[in-house]
Amino acid sequence: MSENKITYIKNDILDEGYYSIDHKSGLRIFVYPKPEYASAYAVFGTKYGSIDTRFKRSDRVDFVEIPAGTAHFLEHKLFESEELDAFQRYAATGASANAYTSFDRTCYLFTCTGNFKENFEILLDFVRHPYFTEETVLKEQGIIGQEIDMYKDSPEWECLFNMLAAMYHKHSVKIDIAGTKESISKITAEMLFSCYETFYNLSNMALAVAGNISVEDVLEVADRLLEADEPVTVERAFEEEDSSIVKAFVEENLPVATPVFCFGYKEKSPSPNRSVKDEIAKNLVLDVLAGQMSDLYKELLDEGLVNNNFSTEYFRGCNYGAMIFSGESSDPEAVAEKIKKGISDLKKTGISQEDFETVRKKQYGKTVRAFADIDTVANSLIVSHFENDELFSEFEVIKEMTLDYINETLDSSFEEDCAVLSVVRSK
Amino acid sequence: MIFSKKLWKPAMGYGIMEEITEKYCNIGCDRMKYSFNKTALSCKGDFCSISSDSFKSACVSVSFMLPLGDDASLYALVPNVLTRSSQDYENLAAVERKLANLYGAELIVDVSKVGETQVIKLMISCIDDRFALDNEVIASESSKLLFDLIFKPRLENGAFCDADVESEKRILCERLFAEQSDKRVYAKNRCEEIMFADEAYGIHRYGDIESIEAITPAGLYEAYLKLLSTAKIAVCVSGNTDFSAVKASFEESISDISRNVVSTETLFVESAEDVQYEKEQEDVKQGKLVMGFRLGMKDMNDNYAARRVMVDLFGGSPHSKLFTVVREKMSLCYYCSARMIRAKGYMFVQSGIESYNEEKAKKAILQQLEDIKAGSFSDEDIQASVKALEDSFRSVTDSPESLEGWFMSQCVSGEYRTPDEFIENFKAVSREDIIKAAEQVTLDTVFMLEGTATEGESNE
Repeated sequence: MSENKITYIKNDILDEGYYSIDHKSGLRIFVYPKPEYASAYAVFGTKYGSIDTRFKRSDRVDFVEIPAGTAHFLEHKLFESEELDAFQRYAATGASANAYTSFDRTCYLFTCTGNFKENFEILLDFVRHPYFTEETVLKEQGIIGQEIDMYKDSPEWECLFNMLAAMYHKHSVKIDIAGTKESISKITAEMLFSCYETFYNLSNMALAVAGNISVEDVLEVADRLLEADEPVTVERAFEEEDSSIVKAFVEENLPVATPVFCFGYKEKSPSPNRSVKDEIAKNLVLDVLAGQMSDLYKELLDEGLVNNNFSTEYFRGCNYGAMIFSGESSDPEAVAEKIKKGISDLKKTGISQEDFETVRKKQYGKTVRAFADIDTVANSLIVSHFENDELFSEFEVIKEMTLDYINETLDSSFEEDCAVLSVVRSK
Repeated sequence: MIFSKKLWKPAMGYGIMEEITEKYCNIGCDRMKYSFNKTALSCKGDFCSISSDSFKSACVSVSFMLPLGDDASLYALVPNVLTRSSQDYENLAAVERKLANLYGAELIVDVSKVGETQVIKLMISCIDDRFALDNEVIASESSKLLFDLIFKPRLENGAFCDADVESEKRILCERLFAEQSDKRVYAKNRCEEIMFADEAYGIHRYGDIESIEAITPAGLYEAYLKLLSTAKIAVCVSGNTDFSAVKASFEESISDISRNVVSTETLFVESAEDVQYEKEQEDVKQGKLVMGFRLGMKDMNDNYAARRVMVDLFGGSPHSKLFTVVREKMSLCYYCSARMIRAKGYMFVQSGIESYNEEKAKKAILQQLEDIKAGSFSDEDIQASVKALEDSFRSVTDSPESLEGWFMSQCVSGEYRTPDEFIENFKAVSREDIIKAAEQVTLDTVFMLEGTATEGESNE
């Protein structure tokens, strides 16, 4: 490709839109201008997260297996260079920079209120120029080891991963994003270069900028700095996952004042791809079932079983999905029983038209609000792209959603033999 | 938007992230997109309006300010009980249904301490009227709901409802317990308790468990009436809405109450005499070291800009000494950062370390301060700190909620300044100012939470 292909996508409700650019380098770039903002936010991401431990490049024959925690490790190492590291460079131009690794992606980001182009150059430069030696890799093993320890002290984090381990026999979602001290000790500089070459190919990445920026400024820098990669596609392989759970109950002892719990229903046949409609419907079902205006939440609160930390989430990704209820309770087992009963009661009566309209209205309001936040907008552009969605499709989905569809969703969710309760309490 | 921030592993320790998100502030002088206006309320208090027509949301807040004291638990519980029900909404489910029907309006209760003032804030935030699907007036309905909750509580036998009070007491206690479970927060709280044992600031913003447990519905109702009659009040409206109608509606709501406002003050202790040290042990993997310093301030405005830049250079940003030397170069900790509490004139350093490194870490942290005193930092370092502060202050203008937060963080002093005014002062800070600010810092208290768990022990 020798030319940039630019498309403008507009939303009438918000009266704003964004540019989707097929950049000549092979990278997809999104620019969402908000001239009334003081800040700009940029995020450069690769579709490479903690679950990607087995894969094959399109130009190779064999599948490769890598230690858990490699994506996160690589994220840490990319900030380094032979001279000034990325943080030091950003300090000179004035930006807040960070990066994160999730289950399915690694993203590098910054936000600033001035010097956008200089900051943007730093971002494109350091993500495109890896530098590490056996020595620096060794040093990082110590730093990440500390981080793994810190998360081991976090009851919520432990509780969630204990639940995932009790839910999944094989899927790599059950392993902590940072890996284990043991797994990261196997990481070598050579391995990092090979993962970098595979996943940091521009065709496997996306770049999104939102806020006080212009498409001209973004392209001026991108055209200058981004050299085309030979396109590579990555085939991921997940081991066959049984639809059953490993065990229905898991407990760990950590010093906590009030026990922490995660109660989740594993999906038996999760899809590798996201459906926005399905995802919204599941969130609406959770809101009707256990949201703050539900009978179930009132009962849990009145009986002293939960506090306002209680929350619900539909958790999904490639080949995994679960409906999760989490919070703190003096009696997590009783909470789980109440939730089970709440589900079976709601399945009997079905969701009413009134409740459906109310949660739908709330969801619409939340969606409008989310577009005020430039970091949410930019990160969502990346996520939507990796999932082959369009950012604004949610408005249409909310509008078209029907009571029948969410009642069908309710019926097909929460299979009794797929429930797992994870508890963290003091000895 | 379908996007969860819950499951991220950030590259940097929380320390820095927290700094960045907590340093809210800022306003673009080159493109004024909002205007700030302050008038007096008839009930004595400030009415602040921040107008802008480009935002997607609007918000209204009411802040009550009282001296931080023995009644802290009572006042902390009041807003939670108020938002639980009202004369028109019989329980939380009814309140939540109303909020959902206001397109997911959000009701936020915030109890904080600003110096030795306890601030009880109730706020509602909603989407702008232009997004309503049936031409509803969302913002004025939302402010009406907020004022109803505050002024028309549901009562039984002349007091708050027993069940609501008991339930909210439990929840507040659990929140305090949760702070004890979060070892990072716990260590910081303990350091404050020890350091300010003889000052009102040593009181937690929620008071303590025993006081919460002792609360009765009648006692709480009495505290509520006292709050309405004696607290200093600030109301803030931010967004594109009819400010005078909101103001009139608030004044009408409070008109029956006879007001006798009590003023609040904060004691500034300029320097520490000797260092207090306390150590506790806990079955956790990572040790937590917290150090509390007096900054030498006589009041909250005393040489603020220089001290703020100094704290940033010392441990506020990724280019700071604590981050680049103690964390990166010496690999002594996973996070290590400094934060300034302007309203009390103090600074604390938080770090997560291997417990056996306690002495080494302490020494390294203090050495960084000595290095600043000795002038061992470059002009680029100063520039980087000023830029970082400028950057975080400027972005305040980007939402009605952050503008509300910015201006209301100043409601105790009642001196409402724009972020630009602060930025100008930061830019004027010289190398000598920074050295002088560092010279006035004295270490007051060290708290160490020693981790006793060994590898694998706290696993299943």
